[in-house]
Formats: sequence, C-alpha cells, structure tokens
Amino acid sequence: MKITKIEARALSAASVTGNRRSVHAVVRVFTDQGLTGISRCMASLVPVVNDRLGPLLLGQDPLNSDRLWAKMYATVSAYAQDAREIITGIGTLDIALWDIKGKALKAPLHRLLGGFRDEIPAYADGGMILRGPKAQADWSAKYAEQGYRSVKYHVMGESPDEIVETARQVRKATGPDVRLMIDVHKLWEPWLAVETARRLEEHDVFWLEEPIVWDDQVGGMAFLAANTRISVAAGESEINIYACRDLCARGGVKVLQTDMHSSGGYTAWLKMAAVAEAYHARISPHGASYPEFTAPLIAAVPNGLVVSAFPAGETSELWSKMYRQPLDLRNGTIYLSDRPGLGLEFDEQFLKKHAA
Amino acid sequence: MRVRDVKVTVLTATTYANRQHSPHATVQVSTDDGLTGISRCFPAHARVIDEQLAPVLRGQDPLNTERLWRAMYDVVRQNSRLHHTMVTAVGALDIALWDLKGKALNTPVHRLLGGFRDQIPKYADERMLDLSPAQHAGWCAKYVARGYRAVKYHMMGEAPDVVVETTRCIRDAVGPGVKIMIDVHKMWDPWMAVETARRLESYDVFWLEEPISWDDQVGGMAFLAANTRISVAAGESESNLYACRDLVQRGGVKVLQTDVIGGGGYTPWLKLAAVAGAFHAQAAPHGASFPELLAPLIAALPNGLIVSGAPAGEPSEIWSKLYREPLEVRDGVCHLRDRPGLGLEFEEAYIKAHQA
Repeated sequence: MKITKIEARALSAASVTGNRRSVHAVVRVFTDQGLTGISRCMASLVPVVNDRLGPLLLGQDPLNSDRLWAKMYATVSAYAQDAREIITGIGTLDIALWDIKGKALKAPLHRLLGGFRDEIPAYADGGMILRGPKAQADWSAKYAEQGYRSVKYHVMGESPDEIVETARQVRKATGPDVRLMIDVHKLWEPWLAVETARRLEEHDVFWLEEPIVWDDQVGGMAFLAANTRISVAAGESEINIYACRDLCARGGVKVLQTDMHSSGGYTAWLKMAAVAEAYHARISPHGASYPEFTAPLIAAVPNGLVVSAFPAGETSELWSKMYRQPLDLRNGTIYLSDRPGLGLEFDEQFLKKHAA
Repeated sequence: MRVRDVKVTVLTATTYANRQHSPHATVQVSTDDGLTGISRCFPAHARVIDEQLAPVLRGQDPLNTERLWRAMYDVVRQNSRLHHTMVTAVGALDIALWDLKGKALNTPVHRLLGGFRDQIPKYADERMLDLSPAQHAGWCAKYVARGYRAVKYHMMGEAPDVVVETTRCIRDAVGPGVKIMIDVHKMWDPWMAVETARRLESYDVFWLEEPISWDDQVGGMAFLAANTRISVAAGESESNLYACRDLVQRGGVKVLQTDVIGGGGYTPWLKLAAVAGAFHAQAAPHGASFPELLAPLIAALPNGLIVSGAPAGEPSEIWSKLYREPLEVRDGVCHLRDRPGLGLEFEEAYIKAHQA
C-alpha cells in the first residue's frame, strides 16, 4: 500500500459558533488501495501539512508509522523556531496514518494502541469563557447532573482568594464525589503555588494544571509537588519526549498532558505513556477540542486517566457535529466503537456547508 | 538620580558588506542629572523597550539594578510566549543601567562587577558560508599571525568528515598551543556527537559549542560530556537562570555561554557565573557582535574565560566603528580602560550616517 495524496482543507471560521478565532481544518491521507485516513487540525497548519510534510509521505507505506514519523521529525530545523508548528503537523498526519493502519488491519484504534479498556471517563472542560465563582459553579453543577464525574475550570488571572472561593463554590455545587481540576495557565511562581495549593486542599482539588511560571517548569513543579497533596498535571507545552521525561522524572508531575497533536501524535504518545508509567504518572493528553482522537489512546494504555472534552453543544466544539456517527460520549463516559481505525467518517454535508 | 528617558535608535542593515548579518540598534538611558547610560540591542527589541519596559524604568533610581531588573522581569513573566525577545530587551537596558551606575560612582564597570582582572583574551570568530577547509585554515592563521591565541569556526551543516578535515587543516596552519573551538549549531544527535568528538580529539579541540540537536539539550550534552575529553560549551539559547543551572549541573557543560543581553544583562549574569562556578564551569558569554559589552563582565569574574567577537574589520562587526574610542584589543587581548562605566561614547557621526 502506498500513500498517493495528502489533503488538508480549512473550514470557515463560522464552523465554530461563538469562537471565531479558532478556525479548524480537516485532513485526509489517500492510498492506492482506496483506504483513506482522516485527521483534523487548526487551519493555520494547512500549509505545513500540505506543503512541508505531505511530500515526505507520498509513495510511502502508511503502515510504517515509526519510519515515517522519524522522516518527518528529521525536518525540524536545528534552531527549531518553528518546531512546534512542524511537530503539530506531524501529529496531525500521524493520526491519519494510524486511522489507515486500523482500517487496513480491520481493528479499532484503541485496540491497536494497546486495548486496555473499551470505555473511559471524560471530564467537562469549561474553556476560557466562564467568569466568576458563581458562573463556574453553575456550569460545573450542570455537567455533574448530566453524569460527568470530573470538571475543570481555568484561572484567568484571578487572585488566589478568588480561586479558593471558586473552588469552594464549585465543590459545594457538585457535591463531594466529583473530581475538580484547575488549570492555572502558568500564572504562579513556586511559592505562590505552594501557598495557594495548600488552601485548595480542603476543597479536594484533584489536579493543578500547569501551575508554575514559564522559567523553571521542572524545578518549580518539583517544589510544588513536594509541598502539596494535590497532583500536579503538566506537559501541554512540551513537544518532545525528553522534556516529558524530565517532567515525570524530576518535576513530580503525576498527570502527563502533552498535547494530542503537538506531541507528534499516537506514535510519539505511546512512548511518552511508557515513560510516564515508569514514573507512576498517568496520562491525560491535552486537546479538549479533539476527544475523538484522545479517547482511543487513553483507553488503550494502562495508565490512561481521563479524556478532556468540551461537552457537546458548547460553543467551541466540533467533535459532535462533523462526523456521521460521532464519538459516543454518554453520562460523562466515552464508549469506544468497534469500527476499524478511528471509526469515524466526516459528515460531507457539514464540511460542504462550512468550507472556507 | 532618576531615569528620565529611554531611547532606542535603529541602524540600517546596509551598514554591512555582508547582508547575512542582522541590523543593529543603540540604546540610551538618560537621567535627570545629565548622565546617559548606553547599550546595544537589535531592531526587534525596540518596540518592547519603548512600549513595555521604558515605562517601568522612568522615574526610578537607576542604581537599584536588582530592583529594576525584577520589575522588568515581572513584565516578561506576564508575556511568557515572547520571553526570549523580552529578556533580551531587559538585558540591553540592564547593561545601560550598569553603565549609568559606573558613571555615577565614577568606577569602571569591570571593577564594579567584581574586578578580577584588567585584561582578558579574545578569540577570533566570524560566521562564514561556503568556506573550504583550506580557506578556514587561512582565515585562522591570519589572526594567529596577529596575536590571537584562540580561533573558532562555525559548522554550517558539513558532514563529519569535512569537519574533521577542516580541524586538521586549521591545526596544521596555526600550530600547537592555539585554542580551536567549533560551533556545531545544534546539528548533531548525541551518538553522532560522540563519534565525531572522538575523531576530533586528536586535533586538540578546546570546546564543542552547542553540539546537540534541540530536543534533548541537557540529556544529550551530558551523554557527550561523559564520552569525550573535549569540553562542551552551551547556553546561548537559554534566557533564564534555571535552564543554565540544569546545563551545568546535569548537562556536563564546562563553558557556560548564555548571551550577554539574551540572558538578561549583567545583573543575572553575575548569578549565572556564580552557579557555573559552583559546578566548576567557566563563563564565556555569547555575543560576538558585542565584545565591548562582554569584556567588562568576563574580566570581572574569577571564572571568566575568554571574550567572543568578530575581529575589527570583519564584515559583521560594528563594535570598532560605533564608538569614538572603541574597546582596546591588541594581539588578541582586550585591555579594559580605567574610565567610569563602560568607558564608551557613541560616535554620533557614525550613528547619523547609518540611522534607519
């Protein structure tokens, strides 16, 4: 089997209501056997996928995942100013290649990747739209009622007092059994992180995500991890396995969150998951827009924890709208389908309607 | 004394015969009692300085270098995506503040920073494309004949065989006793670095600079350092103390090369040098365009090693033209003057002629 064509196409900005800055794109990798692998990414990556990486794949056997991955990775320039963009493109294509592999081997992806389980919990990610303790608490309670057993909210520069108050109200609104995660967006220095984390402990926060300012990620997270009972989650800013190794080995990170795309896709993530496991860390890849891609991976590996997702119907999500039979997410749990590959087909009407 | 004004003057790119070199900019920080501190940066930093950092400095006492550095760094922490550009801008201003401090205290900067010695060797260094091994050797021999005891050449993607042959030719041409450094520009993976370094050992190479590809700097350099007798030099890509700590503590780096402005200026470099010293590493800050800013720092430090810089008259340099009385370099040695501050005054006619 040989790859014959790579096609990334941007959708119109209007495909995602209410969040016009996020423009999405769909990707297809065609083969001479008539099998097509699908993926998607942000529209800004279309040139990287079509023009920089696509030509490297033409004529190649799509089943040689590691060989093709190394070929694409070797093009990252020495000074790596565009490394993130290229590796995100690699991740986008790697997902499509695995979809082809699943279809060629007639196996669902979550089984090809490890097959540890067939269902996996999702958490409701509030995105960066909600403001204030009450809005956060109401939103979290709504999704807890719909069956989600974990919810996440985002710190957008609020003071520690406001964050603690938000955690108190969210905990009160959701009751004791819902897991509460907080995304800190790298806003705290190590001492502020420790002080705030200790105040949050009484509200039983499950993880603090990217809690530490940019300049000493590994050292600062190790400092926090040694001084709080709350798990530290991080990794979405990292684009290679070595940086993720350091987060787990020395940063005290208990939940590795490298992004589904900018990690380099499934091929890279399988290795990252193994490294995380060697340090007793669990994985929850970043990518709330793409639960249909993260779910097969997280379900597949023994240390898979929970799938990040914008719930269906929230303003910034497309995963529930763009496929004929979308990911099966019910009552906060994702049920992986038994169809080959990703088991997804684009809804051509949706694509046509939202073509750029 | 209070800071009154901060002025950046962008110079034209046509200053140079060789267009591969970037245009420069000058920085002036003036006070209410008539003193002016000077420094340099690149045009990319002008906007950050004007819009975000100058407002932090205006009205402040310039002698409070730590206090002002922290206030500027706090601005960086709020813009961490641009941290490399922003820290470089902070570095340019920090050097101007030290110049002011020297002038206000009537003391040369190299003495304020530590005063370990009054002269410091310099190496000859110019980034050139498409040179044959014999041409590299000829260039190095020319400067050795003029008194330089150390020369550096830049790998521009050549095969290991060519690098080894170039080194052989240079060693032949300069004789024993001259230090040869090679800037690898992050082109090797760890195994190739070890194999090539071992072949280079017979030509007595003094250091290998940035030998390892971008993705595992610390781990890869530690791997190389454990497997060759040649010193590993690195750090120019780092813009904070913590990353440099990891290079010397775990990366086996023996020569720390954080950029003199890209590292944030003299204030953080005093700390970087102290951390390096704690791990027996020496300091040779990056900044071949700015030997006049490097020399006072490196001369001041007990573990100061050698000053980088294109020799006067090479196409990329303006340090010998920009000042009324430029840095004094004789026979490959920088001689620090006994004038207050940096002891430099811009040649106004040069700036006027080359203003963008």
